[in-house]
Amino acid sequence: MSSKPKVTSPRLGWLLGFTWASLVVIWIGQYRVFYYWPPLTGGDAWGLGFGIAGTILILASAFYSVRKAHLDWWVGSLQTWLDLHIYLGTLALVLIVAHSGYRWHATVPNLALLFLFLVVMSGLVGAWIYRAAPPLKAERLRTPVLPEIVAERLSEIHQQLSELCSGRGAAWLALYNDLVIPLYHSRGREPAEISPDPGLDDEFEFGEAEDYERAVKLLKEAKTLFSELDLHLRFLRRLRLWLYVHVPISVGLIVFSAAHVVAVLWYRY
Amino acid sequence: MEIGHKTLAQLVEELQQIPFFEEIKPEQLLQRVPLLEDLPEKLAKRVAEEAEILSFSAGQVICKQGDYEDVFYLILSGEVEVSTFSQTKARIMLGTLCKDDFFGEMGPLSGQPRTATVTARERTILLAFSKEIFHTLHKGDTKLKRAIDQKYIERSLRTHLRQVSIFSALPDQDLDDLVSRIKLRSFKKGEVIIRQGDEGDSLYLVRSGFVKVSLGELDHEKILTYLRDGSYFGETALIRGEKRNANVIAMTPVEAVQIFKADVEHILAKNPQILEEFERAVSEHAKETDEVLHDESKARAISFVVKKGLAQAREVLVIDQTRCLECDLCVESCRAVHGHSRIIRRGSRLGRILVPTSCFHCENPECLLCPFGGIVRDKQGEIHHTEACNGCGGCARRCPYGNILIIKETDASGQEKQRVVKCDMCVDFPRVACVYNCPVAAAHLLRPEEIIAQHQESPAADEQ
Repeated sequence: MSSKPKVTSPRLGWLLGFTWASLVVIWIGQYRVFYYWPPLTGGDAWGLGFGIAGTILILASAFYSVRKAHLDWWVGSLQTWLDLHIYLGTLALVLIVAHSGYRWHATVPNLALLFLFLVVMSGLVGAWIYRAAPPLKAERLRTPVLPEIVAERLSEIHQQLSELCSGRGAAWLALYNDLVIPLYHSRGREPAEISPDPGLDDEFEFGEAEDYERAVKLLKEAKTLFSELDLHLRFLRRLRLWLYVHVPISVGLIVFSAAHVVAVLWYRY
Repeated sequence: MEIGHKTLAQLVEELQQIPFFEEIKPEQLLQRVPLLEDLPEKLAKRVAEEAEILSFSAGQVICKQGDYEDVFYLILSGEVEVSTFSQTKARIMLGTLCKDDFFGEMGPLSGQPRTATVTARERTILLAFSKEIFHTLHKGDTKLKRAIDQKYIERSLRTHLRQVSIFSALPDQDLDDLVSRIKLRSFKKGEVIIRQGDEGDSLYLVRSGFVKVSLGELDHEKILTYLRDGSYFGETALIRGEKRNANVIAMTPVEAVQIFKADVEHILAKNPQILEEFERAVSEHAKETDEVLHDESKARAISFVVKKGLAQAREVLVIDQTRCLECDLCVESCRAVHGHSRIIRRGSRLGRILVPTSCFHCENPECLLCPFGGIVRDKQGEIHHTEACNGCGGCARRCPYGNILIIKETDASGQEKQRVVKCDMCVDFPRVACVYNCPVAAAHLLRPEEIIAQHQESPAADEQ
């Protein structure tokens, strides 16, 4: 057995979940206490404390992206950092709302808060996609699709089919034109089904039946490969599409948060 | 003069600096060790140059049960005690060894982990032989080879019998009596040890290797289970007086202890308490068989584990397909850490578990038969290439599962060079990189029995 410790952190999620829930309770309590008496602002001791803590959590949460780019850093497993990314991010929203003092009259901090809210919401959607999409894909794909290997095999099949069909008369030319070209041109969508008997048998010369069977087998394999590749790419596209939403919003959050901090420091000191 | 990790030749060289000892030769000293007195001159010279002199103080552990280590020790002075742990984790004293005795021969001979712990009882000086010198010594017809072979059989049988639950309570006298009657047998990979329907004439204890238990014709067999060292089989036919109810086939080279029916009956007559243990084992095995016959998902999982060679794996890298995001971070992290990825994210699939192309770290690895010492197993059992590897690819050809990859690289001088790479469980790093860098814990390490248990819990899909 490996002497190295196993990478599992089931307790971390519970711990952070508990902290998150506790803070929500404090948040609600704080709303009752501070909003009515005495009034809280982002600039007083409590408000500033919440703001600094929230900013630290946002930065800690963002470290997940840095860690993902450095796979040879031994500073916590990626799973731990993803957990922290989710929990600290949501926790930051709680703290930053508390920091706002429930007053929404300045544009830049309001935009920063809006972006934080959007980041957290899109993150939660992402967490749901990360959880829900793989089982659906696993049900439909028998084995992982490695695009380079599939592309190589498809090219091999095409080469073999070209060799089988070339220079052998009208029936083979028809097979190539009606099945091979549409299959590769439509990336597996056409023809809808590879019939084991496309009605061309009679036109084959003696001894060509075996080659014909081989061609049909290759066509079926290519169709399956195209369909698996399509499933794989659709799966990746869905995950990527989500990133195209989450990452730009995160950049917006960083920009407005930085602008807010700079403005506060500039006008205060 | 200080002793410790020096060869005999180095020690003698230091001694020769002292007047009166100038004439002393290492070979002369070796001749004073009874077991080494008849070594040919060339071999004696090699032993003097390569074997290390080690010193241990009282209470110091020399080798530990369970460690994969293949050093052979000869006691030059002092005394050591040998102990083992039974299947119930009880410490059992096996005896003491003193000057001119030896130990550690089972490691290089069988490739199995240490079967006992050896601790120094007083200051002890040992001559330690590496696996390479040991095998050179063991090839010739020397006094040492004869002594090693005899002791190997005696010790391995005694140690093994003590570790098997049914014999752990057997009195010493009866155990010695049994050791003198039983037979140590070796079976080749694929050899049928027991055939269903044959008469049951003996009981077998697996000493090393793996066997599978199956029903029906060998080419259409239904695999019931697999057994490894420490297990026994053939008891049902003996106890119930029936014919063999299953086939038992060697999955790897197997060493087994054969105990004949008459001897088992003799032991049972003298020690009726052992009969209870036997009865319990028979009913347990029957229950397990029944479970496999009625639980299709368990049967499929066992069959998968046996057929894909995972049974003899210590820990296997698996990817849970219901969690995998296809981000390829496992492959990328392997590349980031080792310069070239040793994982191909394709392989056999059982339900939601995918077993990618990655080293299984077998219990009985065929790849270790490297004449250059280019691939070794460390104390924890992890197998990795060493600097002595010349990239010949012999290990890759010997791996029955195709899990060692041969890659071509261009070195600094622009010359293309062949290199052999395989998963070494990131032996030089604090964690296993692919597992550590999987954000959703889809990549993880599982023992074969855990694969079966997980599949039983959620048999998502068929074996592919």
